[in-house]
Amino acid sequence: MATRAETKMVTGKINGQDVTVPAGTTILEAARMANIEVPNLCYQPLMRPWGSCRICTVEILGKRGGLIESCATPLGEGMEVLTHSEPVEDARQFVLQMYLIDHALDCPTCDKSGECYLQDNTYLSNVNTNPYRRPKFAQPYTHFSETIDYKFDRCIMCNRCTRVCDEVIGVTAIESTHRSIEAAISPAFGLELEDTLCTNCGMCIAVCPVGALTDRHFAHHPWDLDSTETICGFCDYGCTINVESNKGVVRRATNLWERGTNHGYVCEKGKWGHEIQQAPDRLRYPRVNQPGSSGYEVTWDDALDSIAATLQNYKGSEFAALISPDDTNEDAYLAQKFTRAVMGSNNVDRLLTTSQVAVERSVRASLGRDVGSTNNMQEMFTDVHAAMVVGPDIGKTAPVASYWLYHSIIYRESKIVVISQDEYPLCWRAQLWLKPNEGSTGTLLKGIARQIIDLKLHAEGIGKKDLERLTASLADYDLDKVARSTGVAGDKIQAAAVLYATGGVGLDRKVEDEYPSSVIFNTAAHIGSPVTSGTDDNAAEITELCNDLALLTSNFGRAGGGVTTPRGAANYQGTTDMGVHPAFLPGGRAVLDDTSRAEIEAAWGVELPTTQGYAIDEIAGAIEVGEIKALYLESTLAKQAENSPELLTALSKLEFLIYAGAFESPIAEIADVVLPRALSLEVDGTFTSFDRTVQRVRSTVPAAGEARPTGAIFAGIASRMGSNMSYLPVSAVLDEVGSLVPEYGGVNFARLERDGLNVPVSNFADPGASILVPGPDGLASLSPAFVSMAAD
Amino acid sequence: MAQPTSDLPRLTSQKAFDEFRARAIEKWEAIWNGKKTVVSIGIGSSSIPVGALDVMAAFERIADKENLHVRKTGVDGADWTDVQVRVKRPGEPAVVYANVVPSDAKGIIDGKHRGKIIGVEGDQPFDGIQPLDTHPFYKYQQRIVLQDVGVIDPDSIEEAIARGAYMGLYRALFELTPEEVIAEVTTANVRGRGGAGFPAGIKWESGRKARVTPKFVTCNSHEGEPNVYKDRRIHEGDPHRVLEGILIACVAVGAERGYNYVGGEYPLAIQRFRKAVDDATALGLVGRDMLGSGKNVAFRLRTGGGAYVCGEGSAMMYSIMGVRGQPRTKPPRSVEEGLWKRPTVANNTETLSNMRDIVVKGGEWYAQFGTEKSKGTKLMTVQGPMKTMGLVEVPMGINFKTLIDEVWGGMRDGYTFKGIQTGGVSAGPLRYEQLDVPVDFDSLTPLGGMLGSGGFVVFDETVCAVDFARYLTAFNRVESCSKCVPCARGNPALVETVDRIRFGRGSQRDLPLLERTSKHVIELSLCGLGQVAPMPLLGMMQQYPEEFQAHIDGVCPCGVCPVSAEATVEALAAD
Repeated sequence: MATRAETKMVTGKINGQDVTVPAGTTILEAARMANIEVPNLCYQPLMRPWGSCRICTVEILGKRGGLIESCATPLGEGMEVLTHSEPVEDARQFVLQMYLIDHALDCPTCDKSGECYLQDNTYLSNVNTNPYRRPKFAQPYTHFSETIDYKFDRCIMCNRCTRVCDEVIGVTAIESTHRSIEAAISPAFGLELEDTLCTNCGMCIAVCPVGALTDRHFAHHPWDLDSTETICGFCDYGCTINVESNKGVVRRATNLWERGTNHGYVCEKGKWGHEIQQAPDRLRYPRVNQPGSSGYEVTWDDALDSIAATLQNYKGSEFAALISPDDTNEDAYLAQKFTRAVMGSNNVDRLLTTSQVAVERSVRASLGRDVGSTNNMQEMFTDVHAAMVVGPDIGKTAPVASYWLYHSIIYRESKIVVISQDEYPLCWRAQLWLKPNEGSTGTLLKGIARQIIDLKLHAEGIGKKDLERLTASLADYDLDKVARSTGVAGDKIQAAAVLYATGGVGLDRKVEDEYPSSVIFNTAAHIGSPVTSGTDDNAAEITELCNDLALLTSNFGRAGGGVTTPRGAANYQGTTDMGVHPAFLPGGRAVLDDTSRAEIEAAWGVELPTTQGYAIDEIAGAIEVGEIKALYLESTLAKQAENSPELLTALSKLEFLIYAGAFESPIAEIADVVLPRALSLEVDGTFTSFDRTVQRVRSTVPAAGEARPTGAIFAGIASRMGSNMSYLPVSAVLDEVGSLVPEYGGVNFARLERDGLNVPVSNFADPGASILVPGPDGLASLSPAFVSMAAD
Repeated sequence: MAQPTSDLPRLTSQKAFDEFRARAIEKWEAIWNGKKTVVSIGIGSSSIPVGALDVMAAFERIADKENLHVRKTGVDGADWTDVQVRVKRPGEPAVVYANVVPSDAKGIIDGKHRGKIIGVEGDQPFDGIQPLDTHPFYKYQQRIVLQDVGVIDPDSIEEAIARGAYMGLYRALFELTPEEVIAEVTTANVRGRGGAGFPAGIKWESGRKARVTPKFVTCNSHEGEPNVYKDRRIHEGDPHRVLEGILIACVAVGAERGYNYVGGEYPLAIQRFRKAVDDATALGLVGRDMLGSGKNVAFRLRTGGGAYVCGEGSAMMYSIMGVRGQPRTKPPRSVEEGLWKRPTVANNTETLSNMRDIVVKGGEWYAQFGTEKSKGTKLMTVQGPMKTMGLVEVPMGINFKTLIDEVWGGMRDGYTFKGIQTGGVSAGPLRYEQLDVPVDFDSLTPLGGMLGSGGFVVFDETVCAVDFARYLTAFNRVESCSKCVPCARGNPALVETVDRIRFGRGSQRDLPLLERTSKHVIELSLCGLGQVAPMPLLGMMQQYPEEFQAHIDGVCPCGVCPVSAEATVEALAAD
């Protein structure tokens, strides 16, 4: 866990070994740093010490010593600690005997058997008899929900589950009730779990040290499972998950605590999303549809041969490819390379929603490049003082990011403004919740920006030109007018402006140098999502204003500042960086720029088309007028193509449609060739999260049926069309990316085995840039001169 | 429910308060010097069940005819006299009647029922009646906290002010600096009355020094122990004293927010205290710009839901914050991180109730009472077959035998003293021969007892030590908050083992087992409640080892325990 920079260090002795740690580090954590294992049950990283189980008891020597809980006691200067002395072992034995009076001891039928903390500790402390004769106090099992079971007789009341639900997930859907041995975990307020705020994230199950809270979808022996660490493919937060499978079937996803950008915590999709891998409607075999007859399955060779033969006729701009933003970097790179180098077309884009497109263009316009975040999510633990969360419910759109907002409220007392149509728990825990009228979020942000200028809270560093531009554009947005049109009280707007601009300090307190930084979370890319409200808001306007606000307060380039824009699809950032874009080649080189194009041409050894291709929102129109005749269309987890009526109608006008999908779909019925595509659990490669962390995606199980990754499909077609594009080994594709995309110059599989890397990473010695800082040209054009600031 | 007195003016300056107080004193004097006979009836949670309201109604019915001024007061602590009525005829001292029933009303006014008279107010005998202060129950008392309990109408802020209420706050606002207030408290050396005995002055000092804001002051009025009722009586008899103590603490510490946490089992205390807060707020004694001094204290009353553990400092704070009341690990201490992670000074009701007199009369004055290490007076309550049972306020260091034999009048006829359970459910019992000790914070501990919050239970020869130990342990077993395993599961284990002994199924091995279990529960529990939970049991085992042995041998000397019954240990598991 990243801790706040502490200058003061203390040195204590643990089991005779000198240990020097930052002041305030608990004995338990200090011991872990020194590789001394202190057994524990209720300790959970990232959460407040609880101190209930007493398994972590240690002995402190000296006059004021004694037995003490190591998880909550900070190591003091000169403290002498014994972790396994006789009194300590005796105490542990006692505590375990106490647990085992009531614990069900139904290990043979318990899912947790084999990875149970109580089992392990009983074994470690060698508890084999129990002098107490009280009969077990038992209660029936309860079904909390479709996915969660609670088994009272196994519960040891360590409260890890209620704490994670409250402190990290932020919903407090479960609580402990009753006292003494009758105490139990129950949905809050005695409701049914589905009536609480439960997000079904399953973190209560994940943190349960015993088998009290169990996953109803899981039934297997833990020791019978193969586990693979990979990255979740459901959103661009990039959570590390541990996928456990048996005989090629994913049984569950578990959590690797203190690992990855998510420190082990995931959301509902990370916990149970793997189940789609075994969905009955998976496409398993290539299929060819003949006009007038139903489709028939063919071999890959036949399918690829037929595609290669047909595509020979559609070279040039008649061909288009719509690539899923869930694809890995390597797949995406090969997809655009195929389209450009083999087919000679720039008609390649990702399948995006209208809001995603609007956000992309807006970010590109104000920052000069499409980045999901100028900063790093790990700053939530170290630098965030204040945050403004704009747009649809971040708890649904980027759940793990919302966890760290709750975490920062509790541990860093950060001040948060929520601007959203949705009412969700963060609104109640934030300092301020502004709920503008439908469609007026942009106006509200303008009002806030205007207030910052009116109150003279804008940064001194802002250029005169920028200030004039903003002042002029905000001339019409005085407080009263904004208050009237947004329905938000004027003083609240002002308070939000002050909170954001002063980093939560407020106007009352004098600050010596400059105000602390504030971060903006902008979820405008999710406007229109079926699970959130506020569909009338203008995503482009909101995004532009978020960037303007950060610019106005000089929050770009500062730790704990910047703008973070979660955009949804798992590898949105990566597919952009790879050049899956009608106007940009890999590395953000403009198609229209001759020098850039020449570089790529030299590398690929082909001539590239010189005009921009059609973007996702233009392709349907281009098909309708017959400019595009052949289309390679991928499916996405968000079912982008299926949800776009224009595109669906246009598809019938195509002469040749290749559908590469993971699931049965109406498009699979009308496509000429249907190719089964592998899901992210089945492929190797890399994902780039919205905060630009490149992480390693590993194949956890063989793909369903004969499904193949996108890259393999394109490599297969390319070789049949006489072009040499290799897919395997995947690491070589990433190496090729590194040679063409300067930002990925220092990324390869070997480095990623250790940990994720924040791009830009220019070479193998570059640690990566966790914060992007504005270049020498000033803020007017934040781009293109992003230079990487050495990671702290 | 009592409504706030609506015609109270808002006092916005020192002068306005002086004038209001002068008027209040005038009114107060007018009651006692008027032409009417003043009948004061002690009404509180101890007297209402024996008909105090009916007695009051009976007097009110004849009030016009007999020219009476009938008024209610709090119960002055003498529970054995309930319903207590004080009748003051013009020009005469007030005569105190005990155990009055409604049908006595007329007779008392007519001068009958002389048998019910226990004394007369003042220091001179009157009409052959001895002064009340010569009665043993009152003789040893030094009433500071209780000085107005049983004197004023707890619902009347004017009577309270006439008797000196808010003079301490007045001094703290206008005449002393916060540092001087703390200096007085430090000089008084008043130690925490909740049981731990931590000096309040030091606590306030650290609260004052804490730099983080906002700060909080909490008053812990949650008496969960089964035999303590002192805070309840203070709230019922003189709520303004508690409120004033909290306000003084807020001013001294520099806290702008004060909380009083009262157990929900005390409806009358809550009602009267709420009225007091409403009235004080209307007068401008609480809230923004108190009495025009420029100081603010926002005040809130929070009520508990009935968990014993919520009397523990950190658990109380969680309860106030609206979450499950459970103690937390320390450090940090509450005075560093308490309510909402802000510095919080937590004091007991009784401690805060002393503050008015400490501030008004000075720490030196207060320190003259009590012993060298335990200054001042202490409220003590008793239960059991005593002759004059009730709440008393005696100087620290009073001899325990005096307290039992004289103040509380010794055992009732037919009962033989066997022992006295000290420290609520947090310590062991004492035998009679051990009682020749001063009662203060430190003297009882070496004997295995504890002053605690001053709640005692006297038990007689018909009480079986094993059975009683089981009761006390079972209280802790039921009230354990479930957080720490040693307490949550250790106490049930203790109950189960004691039950085995009670049911005649104990063995020689069970006594060491009880000791081992207790040792771990004491050593490993997080909060004070868990750490003392096995104390009553250990105390009983130490004081009455022969009874435990007798049970193991198959006999209950008192004939209480089902040693030979056909019951099984399993049957008990459910309770």
